[in-house]
Formats: sequence, structure tokens, C-alpha cells
Amino acid sequence: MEKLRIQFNKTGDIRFISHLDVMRCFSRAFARTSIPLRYTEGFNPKIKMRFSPPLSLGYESWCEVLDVEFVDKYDTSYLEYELNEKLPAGLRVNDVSKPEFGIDSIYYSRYLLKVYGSDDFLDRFLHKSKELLSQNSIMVTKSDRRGRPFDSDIRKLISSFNIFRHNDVLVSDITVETSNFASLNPKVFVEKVLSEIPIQGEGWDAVRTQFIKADFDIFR
Amino acid sequence: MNKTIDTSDISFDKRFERILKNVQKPGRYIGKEVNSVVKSKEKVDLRFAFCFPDVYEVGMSHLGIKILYSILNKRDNIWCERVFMPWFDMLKEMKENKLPLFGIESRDPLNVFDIIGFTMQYEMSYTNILHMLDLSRIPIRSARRRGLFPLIVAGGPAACNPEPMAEFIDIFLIGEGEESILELCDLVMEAKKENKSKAWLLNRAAKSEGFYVPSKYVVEYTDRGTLKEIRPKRGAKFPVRKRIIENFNSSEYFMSFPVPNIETIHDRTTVEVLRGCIRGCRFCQAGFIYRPFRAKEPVTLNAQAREICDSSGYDEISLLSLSTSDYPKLDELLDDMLKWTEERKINISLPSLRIDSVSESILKKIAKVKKSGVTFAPEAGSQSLRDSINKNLDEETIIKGCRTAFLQHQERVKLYFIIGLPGETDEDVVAIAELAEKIVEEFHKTKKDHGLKRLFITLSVAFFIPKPFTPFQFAAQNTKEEFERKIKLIKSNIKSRNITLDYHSSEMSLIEGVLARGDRRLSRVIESVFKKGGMFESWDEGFSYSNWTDSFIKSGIEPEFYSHRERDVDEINPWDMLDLGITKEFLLREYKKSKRRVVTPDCMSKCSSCGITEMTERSCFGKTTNSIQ
Ligand code: SF4
Repeated sequence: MEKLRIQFNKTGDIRFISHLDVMRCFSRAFARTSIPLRYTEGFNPKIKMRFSPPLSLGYESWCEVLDVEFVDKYDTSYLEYELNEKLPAGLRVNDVSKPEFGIDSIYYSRYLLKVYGSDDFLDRFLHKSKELLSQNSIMVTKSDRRGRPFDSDIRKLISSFNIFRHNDVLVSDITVETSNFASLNPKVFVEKVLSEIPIQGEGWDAVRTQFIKADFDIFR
Repeated sequence: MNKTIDTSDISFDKRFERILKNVQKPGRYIGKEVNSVVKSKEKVDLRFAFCFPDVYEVGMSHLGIKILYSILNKRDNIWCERVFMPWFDMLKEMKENKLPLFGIESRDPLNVFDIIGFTMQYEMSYTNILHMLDLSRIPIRSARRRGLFPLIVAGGPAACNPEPMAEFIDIFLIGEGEESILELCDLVMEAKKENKSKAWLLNRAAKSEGFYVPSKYVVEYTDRGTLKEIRPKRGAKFPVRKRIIENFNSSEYFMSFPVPNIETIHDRTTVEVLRGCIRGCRFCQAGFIYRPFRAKEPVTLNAQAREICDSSGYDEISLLSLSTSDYPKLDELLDDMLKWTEERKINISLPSLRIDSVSESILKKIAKVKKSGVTFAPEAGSQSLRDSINKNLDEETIIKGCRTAFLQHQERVKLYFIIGLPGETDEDVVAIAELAEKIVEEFHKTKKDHGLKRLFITLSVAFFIPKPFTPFQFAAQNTKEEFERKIKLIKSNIKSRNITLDYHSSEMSLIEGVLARGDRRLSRVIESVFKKGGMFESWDEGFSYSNWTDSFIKSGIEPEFYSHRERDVDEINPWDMLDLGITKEFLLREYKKSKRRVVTPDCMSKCSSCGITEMTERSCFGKTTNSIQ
């Protein structure tokens, strides 16, 4: 038995499938390789897989992670090749290796956001986001499980933020908490900024670029 | 893997991407699944758009599309793509952004395809077909499409009465499509190569076996509105005989099919064990139109199952048919399959088991009776009405089946019924509630000794819709008022709080009833509903009764004429130019027997001479045909 970590990208159109769909894609890709894996016990056995914190539908990623338990020992580059042969386009394995830390040690996610719109819009977005980040708290209204609204401060969940203009796009590098205790979807921040700008943009994109541990080391 | 798609049209891609961010379940539209077939459009002679007039998740769960996609793409010179109906939100975005409907593989608009083929699975999808054409700016009426391309064809079970769609479709493929679809492609390629006209093509098709070209038939009506005559124009076949494939066991099957990236209705793959059904339940169209009964050999099925599991990676495979427990070699097949499925943790599911004919040993083998509960389809509440519809399932078997389920700690039972069956009395209706109460009683008897808690019985009630090529094709459908009264009657007879009643819109069933036995004049109604924006009429989200009733009035058509009228046995039916092998004499015999509430034995016990052997030129079970009773 060997537990290995698979690091993969989710890019292109496949970003439009959900986290659950990604899990299914991997189960089926493994089944197509016919490499034996460990299964969960019980009535309806499933492949033992553990994924990094779910990525929102529509976001791309360069750093998704999945741990699986193989029945036998395999050459990691063989596994990488086999899986890439069998996975749908856009899900691409970059590395297979023995994990050093548990998936639980993921504490932050780093995202690259791209915001599109008119010059005026981009200027306003840039200033508004900087202004919000300079404050001690950023209050947003969330809703609980029963759909009841409550106010929440998201400032403490943003650990670093950087934004700059690159040609006709705004690029933002934002690191947010995605731990077992709390997590923030960058969408919540973007929507907060958008809600405070009177004019409309032309949409935005997000790529998750890194996982980071509590000690600010990069998670691999 | 990583097949790339020609994205020369950047602006399309940009627009498409923006739209995907604004819709629910964008994964429906992205394609590029594992095993999807991408060919170079310059290198193929014919491009086929296989259209399923419903959402991706429904279409991708359907067997027919898998078989035909595979057959077409096996030919190097043909490229078949899939097309699904975009959901409301996507459709709105596409219209606003001027994006035409496209093939999911190439993302090319439908109007660049040579053949656009629709599968007609249910009548309520007809308006979706018109929307799909319209979204690609293709004129919906056949007569308005002067050029050869795109040629609009259709097939599938609902095509056994093609008439309501006659004004829109150029050619219907009648019966099994595995062979005829390639013949059609060959004919179209010939026409294309030799620069022939659409008229030439339709003439040739009308002379070929299994092709119904509606424009080649003249229909006349009597003063009463019934059909006076269906007259073929010069050279057109009459009747058009349905196609039956040469050998079911060795017929082409799909060995790989695009594996959806998102969850679909049936997240599993399939082998087709049987075609046809020996039972002959009198309300069931599938039980007649797919005759004769044929079975594949276990060795064929086992090999196919293995290959499909290998290519797809699914962890569930279903043994599909109208009644899988009628497969004589089920035991043997399961033994063969279990040799490899167990180790690979693949579940075998039998979606159409009849509780009365399953042996203990088979039940043990599939063991995976899901905790979600058991389902039975008694269809009628009383024994005598069950006899009348030829559903050979007795009360004792149902109660015994439930008891077995209770002993396995199953506390959920679902029972399917149909109300409005021909000859149904109020006692028959009340019997539905009574049967459920008896199951409750049985539960309470078993409860204490086996530590059971609470029983949940769901009575799922459908409204009867008479369909062509069934013994009930002559019968009148109940009116809305009758349906609603009968639902109340069941409700008032349910005493136990363990029972819930579940039923759909009676209005939807009425419209389906009109379309199922409608004639050409209904094209006007369908067009009118389409123009009012009516779509997804089989979905609660889409169905609008007033759209239909308004359109009937506007088109000068009385729906009652089609649905609530007992049809004269000599009357010419709109579908009478088709020969599906089942004779009208047989259907009539069965209808009369149903009135006397007399059962007909299943085909394996005794042949009832339905007529199909005239077409197949061989007896169904190697026995000589029995005499007519
Ligand atoms: S010919 Fe006889 S055995 Fe064959 S399907 Fe018809 S009734 Fe059944």
C-alpha cells in the first residue's frame, strides 16, 4: 500500500464543472487505468480519495491536490502519464509524489484575479479595493444554513492583497484563509467591491495558484 | 487525450465563455468529454447532428443516441456530433448574444450540418424540436427548406405516429435505426456528390424500406373530421414497413461513448439485454412496437459490458430491457459478469425487474437492493382491472414482495398506478387505496418482531394516455374532470398516514394524449405553441396548459376529438400508413379481451399471433404459431 499525492490543474472549459464532478472524473479515470486502488469499507465501496478544499465552479486552478491510496507501488511518472491519458481535457496532473504534510495543513489559498471593464471602471475598482483593504474591517452580509442573513467581517480572512493594472486588465493577487476553521471565497470580496462602484464591469476570472500552510510556507 | 477544438472563431469563444459564467450548470454545454469523437471537418463527406430535444443530462442517459453515435462515427467519412436543448437560462443568453445552437463537439452552428436528426422519445418534446431548428435559423417547415441541406430527419418511439410533426420533418426513419441511418447517409452523400435536388432525394427515400416521407402522402378528411384516405404519391411505399435489424445478437453496439463530466440522470452505463417484450401489457406502447422479442447471448453481453466499463470507468452497469427478468439466461449472464465486476467494485443493476419472476438466487447475486426502497408497478388496483390490462401480477405476489422487503428492513415502498384505464370503474380506483392499506396492515404484522419503525408508501399515479399500436388505441381518454374526481376518490379512501399520493399534471397527460393520436392538422397547434415560446413541455418548469388551449382555439382544432372519443374500429388512423408488424386485427382482439377482462398469455407460454412473424419471416421462439383464440 502506498499513499501518493496527485497535484493537478483545472483549466479551460472544465472549470465549469463542480468539485463533485471533478471527484467523479478522477474515480472514472482511475477505473479506466485499471490501476488497483484502496476502497472504503462498507456497502457501497468508493475509492479512498482526499481532495484539497473545494474550488468554486468557474475558477481555474494550478495547484489542486488529491491523495489516493494505491494497492501496489508504482513509478510516479508512470502514474502521471497514465492519468493524463485518461483524464478529460483540462484536468492535468503535474506531479505525483509522496506527501510530506497532510492535506489538513492547508491554511490559505492564493488566487490570481483578473477584472475586465472600461478604464473608468478599472480605476474605480482599483481604488475601491485598496480603500477597503486599508480599513480594519470589511463587513458583508452572508446567510446562514437556513438562509437567514447575518453580518460578517471578511477583512481578517484576507491575509495578503495586491492589485495592479496590466494593459487593459486589472490583476489582483489575493491570499485568503481556506482552513478547517474559516474560509473565504474571493467572490465575496469582489462582489463587495462591485457593490460599491456605481458602474458595471465586463466580468472577472479567478485562478487558484497556490496553497499555503499556517506558517506561510508553500504547501506541496 | 486532450483533443483540441478548432477555435478559429475567437469571438464565438469569448461570447460563449461569458455566457457560461451566467448560467446554471454550465458543464452541460462544454463538451470535450473523454471518448467524444472529434474529426477534421475537411476530411469527412457528411456531417450529422444528432439532436436530443431535451437537456444534456437527459439525453446523455439515453441508449439510442449511444448506439447511433457510435455507428455513424465508425464510418471514417461521417462525423456525428451531439446537440442538446439548452435550458431556459442558456437559451435566453444565446438569443441575447446571437449565438446559434451548435454541435457540442465542433461548436459549429447546426445549419452547416448535412443531416440534422432528432430522436422523438416523447410527444411533449415536439416544441423543443422546433426551437432547436429556430435557434439555428433554420426554417421550421419542411416546405420552406428548398435546398438539400440541412435535411431534417427524425426517428424513435414517438415516430410511430409521425403525423403531428409531418409538416416539419423531411424524412422519418421507422423502426430500428441501426441499419437505416447508414443507408440514409449513403443516399445523402450520393445526392451531395452528384448535386441532386431535395426532390430527388425525397423521391428516392420514399421508395426505400423504412423511410416515411410525409410530403409524399396526401391526406383527406371526412366531414366528421376523421381520415377519409391516406394516398401515397407516385412511387411512395404504402404501407411503410418498420425496419428490424438483421441480427440483434451481433448488431452494432457502442463500445465507447462520451463520459459526461457532470452528473446525469443515469450515472451508469448499459448493455441492452433484450429487445421487445413477451408480456403484452395492453397499455404499454413499448411492449408492442419493439416486437419481436430478441435476446443477446450471455457471451456477447459479457464482452460488451466489459469493454464499456473499461472505456468509460463507470462503477455501475445496468442490464437494460423492458423486462430483464424475462431474460432466460439471466443466471448465466450474472455469473459471467460477477467474475470481474466484484473485484472491480462495479455494481450490476436491473432496472426493470418483475417481482413475480425473480428467483432467490438472482436476488442474492445482485444483492445491492438499494436502501432507497422497493418499487412495484401493479398499474391497477383491482385484480380484474389488472387482468383487463394484461398485467399478470396478483395481489398476493405484491404483498409477499413487500413482506420480503420489510424483513430486509426496507421501510420505503413505491407503487406505480395508472388511472383512467379503459373500462375502469370507481371500485377499481378505490382498490388502489385499499391495496396500499393492505400493505400497511402487513407492515404492522411484521413490525414488532423485526424492530421496524415507520413505513412510507408512495402511490405514484399516472393518467392513462391511449397510444397508437396498442390495443387501447381505439379507446377514449378520461377527461380532466374524471381524472381529478378519481384522484379525490383515492385520497378520500386513504386512511393511513403512512401513505402519500403522488401524481402529475392531468393537463399535461391530456395534451400528450392529443399529440399521441393526432393527425397532420396538429402541426398548426405545435407551431403556434412554439411561437408563443412554449418549450420543455414535459417539464413542470415549461408546461403551459393555456398555451395549448389557446393554440387549439386559434388553429380551429378540438382536442376532445382526438382524446375523448372512442374510435370506430374501421376508422382510418393517422398512423395507418405505417406497418409495425402488429396487425389491427390482433389489437382489436386484444381490445375486446380487455373489455371482458380476460388475460392473454405471455409470448413464451403461447403465441397470440400478433402479426410480427409476417415481417420477420420466422417464428419468435422456434415454435409454430398457435391458432388464433
Ligand atoms: S408472433 Fe406470437 S410470440 Fe411473436 S411477438 Fe407476436 S404474439 Fe408474441
